[in-house]
Amino acid sequence: MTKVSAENTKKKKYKKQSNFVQVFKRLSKNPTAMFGLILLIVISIVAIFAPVFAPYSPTKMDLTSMYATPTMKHICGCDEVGRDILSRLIYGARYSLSIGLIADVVSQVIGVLVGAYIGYTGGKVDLIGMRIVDIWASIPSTLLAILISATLGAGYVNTIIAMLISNVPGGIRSTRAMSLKEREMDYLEAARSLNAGKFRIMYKHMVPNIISPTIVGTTMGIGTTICSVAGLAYIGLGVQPPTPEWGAMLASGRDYIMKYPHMITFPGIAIAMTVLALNLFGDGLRDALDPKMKN
Amino acid sequence: MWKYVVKRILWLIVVAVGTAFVIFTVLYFVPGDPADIALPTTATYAERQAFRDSLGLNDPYIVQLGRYLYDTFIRFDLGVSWSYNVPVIEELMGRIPRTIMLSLITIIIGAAVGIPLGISAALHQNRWQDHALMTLAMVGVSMPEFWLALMLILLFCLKLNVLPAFGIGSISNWILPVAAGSVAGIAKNARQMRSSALETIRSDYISTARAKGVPERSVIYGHMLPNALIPVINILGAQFGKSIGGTVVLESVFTFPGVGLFLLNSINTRDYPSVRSSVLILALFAATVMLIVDLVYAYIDPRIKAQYVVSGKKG
Repeated sequence: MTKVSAENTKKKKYKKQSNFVQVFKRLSKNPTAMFGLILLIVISIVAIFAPVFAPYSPTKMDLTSMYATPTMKHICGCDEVGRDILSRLIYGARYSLSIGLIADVVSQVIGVLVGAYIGYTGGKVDLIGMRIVDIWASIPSTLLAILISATLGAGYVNTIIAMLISNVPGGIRSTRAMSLKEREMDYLEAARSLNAGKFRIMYKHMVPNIISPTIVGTTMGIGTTICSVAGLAYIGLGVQPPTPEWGAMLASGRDYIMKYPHMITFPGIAIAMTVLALNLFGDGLRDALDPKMKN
Repeated sequence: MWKYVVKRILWLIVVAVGTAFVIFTVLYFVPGDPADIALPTTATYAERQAFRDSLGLNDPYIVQLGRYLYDTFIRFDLGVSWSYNVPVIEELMGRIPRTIMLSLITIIIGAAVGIPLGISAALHQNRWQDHALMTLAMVGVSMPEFWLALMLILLFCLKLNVLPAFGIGSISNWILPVAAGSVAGIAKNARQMRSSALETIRSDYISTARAKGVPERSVIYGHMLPNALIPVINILGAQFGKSIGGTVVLESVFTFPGVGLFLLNSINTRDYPSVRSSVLILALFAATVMLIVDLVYAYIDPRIKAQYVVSGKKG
């Protein structure tokens, strides 16, 4: 009796260690990935609680400190109307991070749902679906984002829509390619022979098994999207100044590059740091999700 | 193989028409009246209507789309620019070679520098060379291209005053755009090459080669490299598509008079025939390069070749 219960608890203990915990344990052994994760958490906290961390208001103009170069009072200096750049960067993190997060996660979710459906169904659905995706993706994604922004006009929501539309085909493609291979696997055959519904097989059985590369791709993709969004804002098609989005800050700072280079240095560093954190974390996540790949 | 090549080239034509369709449809929904842009503000209602009629803008969507596709692909006429009042093709002719040159040089440098760096990182795995290269590559993929361009301008044009920041004409005008554009490619290729090389080095045939006493040099350059290069070549095509978008922003930073800058100016002046044509040209260029990469890929990888021969029989 006692033996059985001991076995039971042992089994429970084993069961308790979910996939997530295992992955996190592997991840925590990787110092660069943890550095990326901590940096990400810090950036997110600073962005969420921007009013607490920002030393000044991002919109307060102080004409006495116009173009102020970095000093102890204004660590990153001030812009052309005397707004504190550090405060603007902190508030700007909200825009850059949220656009990157929403556009990338939503497009990957759509990509997984549609890609798994196309890849699993196969046949004519796959043929027609992939032809549409091929044509959709035939315009390079940044170019498509530029085109859509030009049509919709600049702005926060329109930037998200533009990034979304241009990111979706990539997500569909990669999930579809994985589903195509996965659908021949025995466990799906088993599910089919148990007469499980098609959608149940696709989204309950197959998708969890092919989701890892997508999770890594999403993490890295947020960084790429943040860069693209900054690029869009820089050429005047994304979020517009005076919104303190990082790309928009670069756009308004470029006229002063000659005399006041701090106005374009710091927003760029903010972007690079965020993307670096995402990439470090994504790299670690890839190794942690796929232990085979670890050298 | 030839059947595959012909199939792919035919597919490129379908993609070209599809691309034109997407571009036309997206721009069809642009709010605002072209007559407001092309005509002076004093134009009367009748003049506006006459202008719209002359461009066929009062026709239904499907008629306009048909006319656009017919003009573009049968008559090879890209239309007349609304802001310059000359055929768009004239404006584009001088710019296309510049943009193509810029992107090709960028991608070639990206491959020529990135791949050897990746190999050397893999061969020195976990030693300082590896760590240094991979740290640099990590920073390289994390920087926005156009910000790096701004920083290069700051350093080489404003502080050191050795290179021009904009314009075109001499070789020195090309150095900074090419440098700013290739960093990301170098970094990406190095990372991809390193992981691909490390993956290949673990395969059974490498162990076999080593076990039968093949010299290490020949194991690496004869057995490992050709196989490790395949996935890297495969992503070069996709990378190129991305870099075309980056080129547009870079051209704007350096005021480099290519198709990208023309596209942005046309967007600002709402000159839609020019927008349409520039996007189409850039997309077709990217599609052509991707086609070439795919063909090279199929040619060098016997596994892919075999796959297509089989699927060719089926189809």
